Amino acid sequence: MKKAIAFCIIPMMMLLSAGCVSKNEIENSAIIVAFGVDTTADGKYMVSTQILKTSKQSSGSGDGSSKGEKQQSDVISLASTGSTLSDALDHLSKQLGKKLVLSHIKFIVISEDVAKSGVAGLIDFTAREYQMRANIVILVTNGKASEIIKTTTPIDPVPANAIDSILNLQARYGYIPVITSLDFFNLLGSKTAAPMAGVIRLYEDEQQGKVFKLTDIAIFKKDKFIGYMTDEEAVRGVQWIRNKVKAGNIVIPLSGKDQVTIQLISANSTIKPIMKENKPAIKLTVQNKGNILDMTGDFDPMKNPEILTEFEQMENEIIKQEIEKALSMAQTTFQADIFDFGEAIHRDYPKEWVELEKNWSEVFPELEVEVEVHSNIKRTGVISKPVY
Amino acid sequence: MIKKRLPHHEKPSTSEPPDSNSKNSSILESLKNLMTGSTTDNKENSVSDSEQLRPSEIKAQSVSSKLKENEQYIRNIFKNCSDIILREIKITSNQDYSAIFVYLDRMVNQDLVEEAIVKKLVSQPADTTHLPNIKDYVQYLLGIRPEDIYEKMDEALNAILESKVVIFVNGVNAALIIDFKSPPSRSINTPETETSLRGPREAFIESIQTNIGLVRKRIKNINLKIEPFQIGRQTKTDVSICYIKGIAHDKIVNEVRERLNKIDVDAVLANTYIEEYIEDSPFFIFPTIFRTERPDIVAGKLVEGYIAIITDGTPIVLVVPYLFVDSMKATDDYYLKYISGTLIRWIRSIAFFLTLTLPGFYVALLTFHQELIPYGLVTTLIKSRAGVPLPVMWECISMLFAYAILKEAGIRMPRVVGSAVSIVGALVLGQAAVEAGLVSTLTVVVVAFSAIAALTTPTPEMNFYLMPPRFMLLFLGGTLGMLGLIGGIMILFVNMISARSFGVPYMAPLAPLMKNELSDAVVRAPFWSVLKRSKLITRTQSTRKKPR
Repeated sequence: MKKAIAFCIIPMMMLLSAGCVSKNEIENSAIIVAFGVDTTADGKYMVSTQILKTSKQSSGSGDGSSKGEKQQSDVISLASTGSTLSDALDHLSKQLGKKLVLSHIKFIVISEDVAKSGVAGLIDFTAREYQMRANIVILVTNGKASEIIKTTTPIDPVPANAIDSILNLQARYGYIPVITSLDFFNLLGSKTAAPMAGVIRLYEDEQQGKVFKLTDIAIFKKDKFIGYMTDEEAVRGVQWIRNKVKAGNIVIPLSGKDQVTIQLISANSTIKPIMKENKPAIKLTVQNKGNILDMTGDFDPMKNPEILTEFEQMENEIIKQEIEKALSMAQTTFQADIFDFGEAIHRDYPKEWVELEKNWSEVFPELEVEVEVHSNIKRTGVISKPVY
Repeated sequence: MIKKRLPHHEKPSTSEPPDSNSKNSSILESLKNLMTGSTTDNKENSVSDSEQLRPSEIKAQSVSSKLKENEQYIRNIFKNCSDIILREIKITSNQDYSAIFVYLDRMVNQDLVEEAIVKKLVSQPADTTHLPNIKDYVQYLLGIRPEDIYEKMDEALNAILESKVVIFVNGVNAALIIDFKSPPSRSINTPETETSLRGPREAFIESIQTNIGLVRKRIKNINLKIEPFQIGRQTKTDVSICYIKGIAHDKIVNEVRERLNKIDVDAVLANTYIEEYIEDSPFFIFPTIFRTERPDIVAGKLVEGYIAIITDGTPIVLVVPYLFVDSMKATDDYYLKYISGTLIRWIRSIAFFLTLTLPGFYVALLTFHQELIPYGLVTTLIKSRAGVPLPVMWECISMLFAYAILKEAGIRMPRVVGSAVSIVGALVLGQAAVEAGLVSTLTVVVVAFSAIAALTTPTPEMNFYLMPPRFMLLFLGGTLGMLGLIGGIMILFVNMISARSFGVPYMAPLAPLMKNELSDAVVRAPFWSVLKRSKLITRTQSTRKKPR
């Protein structure tokens, strides 16, 4: 009997002592999927958010969409201001009367103005706030962040999803780096490395209206934005060095008008710091495999497989060029160690690093990087010789 | 009660017998009888029915050698029992040799009585008209075993009640018993609840003899032992335990015997009455005794060393011990090839876990842990939840409640109104409720899935046993979130692990882990690979067959 009473009382006490403090019904919460940060004229933060709509879509969507009407968006965008980010979000919460759920944020768009004035506070907030995930992507835009957040797209009822899918595909092809808040946090915390972020831009397209374009890299020094790396080849060079290129096409110009396109099927690059006469150097090895996607000219690779070796040599050169372009931009134009070479040397040569760290800003621009590319063309496609 | 022990009831009007209990208890007993309405109307008669007779009185009574005395005694005892039949015949049509035979109407095979008793006894033998020993004549003519000849009246009365034919012969102070038992019963049918795709189509019926026959038919072995018991003060229900000597563990068999012997109850109308008396832990939520209506399952269990308890009047046979892994096994596993058999068993186990936890998990995610909801699902969820008046926990509870009502209605309703219930259930509680915005679509999906998943367990009762823990986990998930849900699951598991069925750990061979026993628990190993019998049940290392 005593046991039975205890069995009843203990769960009741548990229920009472725990309570439902963190209870938060899903329909009473505002789920934010993306947010942008701008500055106002008086130096405050303006946060614009994409919040999932809790109301049902209005009826009659069946015949509406068939007439080619603009797809209804599933989000509402709201903005509020505050002296800090959390302050601004707090104001937003009050305005909505709902608890904000930050755990589904896909990306944060930072306007160039905010980036120039420093993003330390923002990165601190993303790392500190327990709801925020570590894999929120940091993006920089040249215009106003609120414009990006406000824009709806016909592709997806949730614009954040559309941007997310573009971002992931582009990153695989090496046209934009995906820098998460955790990456940014780590680069910012390192004494020698320079953070970077992807860039999102809004273009006016004649047919589709406003479209997002995700290319380029925004380079930071400490927490302040210093410039864009807009060259497509250099951007892919950066991604080659960071071992982030996993797919994509490489066009090899041949004699005359002929050219061959190689489709990458796998790629891998490794960084190995070495010491050359007491001077640090980096050995970068890129290995990739690919198939011929298209080809013009008078070649028959099935009959003369040697031609493939020639192509491979040319492909090596092209990739090498891209990498060297990226290196020269980072080393001379921006003088920012966005590849975190410093950390790689630190790991392999911790004793030497003590000296190197002090004057890394002088060492980095002069750092020698040996690039070695091994391309391998696997298959020629369904046909061998171009028909004409 | 063991056979031939008469109960100790008595009437308050009669004087206190020397061998009875204290007066208080006897009054209580008779009050109980009054409440249950088991006493007959004519209380003025001291021998109104056999139950109310003092056992000592009957015990003392021997069968008289005078036929008239016997007849009078029986008529007296079975007063107001219109179904008793007493017929007088003259053996060999000789006026000197009269005999009466007594039986209960419709409880014996009438044709056999006419053919084998009346005809044989009445017809004159060709050679002689003089019979030196009438008792031997009747005994050998009808082929009555010596042990079926009773000299005590109480034994004869019991035989009558057990629907046997009792013959009293004038001048013989013994009752001769012939078993022409044929109580009304239906014929063997197909199983109704435990359907199988390719298994045998026989099911147990209400007659214990037929049920024993159905088992014996499958196990032609001298070691198949069938021990009779009689339980129930009023009903005197026949109960038999079946086991295979040498395979079933003696300790468990003894345990079953002991527990059955301890039962002291008025009526055993179904074997659930027994079940509750012999269970290991009455407060445990899941059954520790297996019930089945399929003789092939019972036979399969018996050769594994399990013990079956067959009760008269119930088309369900109890099998002990019953472990958790057994509840995940269906007959069809063994009638399918073992790869698909194994896969189906896994699916069933997953369904078991899902039906318990899914509503709680769903509610916990929606009320506490929005960050755990997959991103793609958030949009769908938040839209389906829009405008629903109830919080998700109460929504889930009310839907499960509605489902429980529907299920109950489905069982109780007359078959003719069946379609009405299903239409109302499907349309009103499903579609219309969603369209009206009373419940969200996802809740309906979750509740429906949970309800359907419960039906995959091979034991039909499991459906009902799963309901309380499901509600408990749902409530914990809705009030304490994931913490509560995991805590609830842990309490449930601890409860399950600590339970026992006739001394065998309920969760064995999973907890405690017995690697050698897993071949028929986690997977359905092919028959040829299972060389050893389950040590868990037999407690000895015994081989099922020689390895090839």
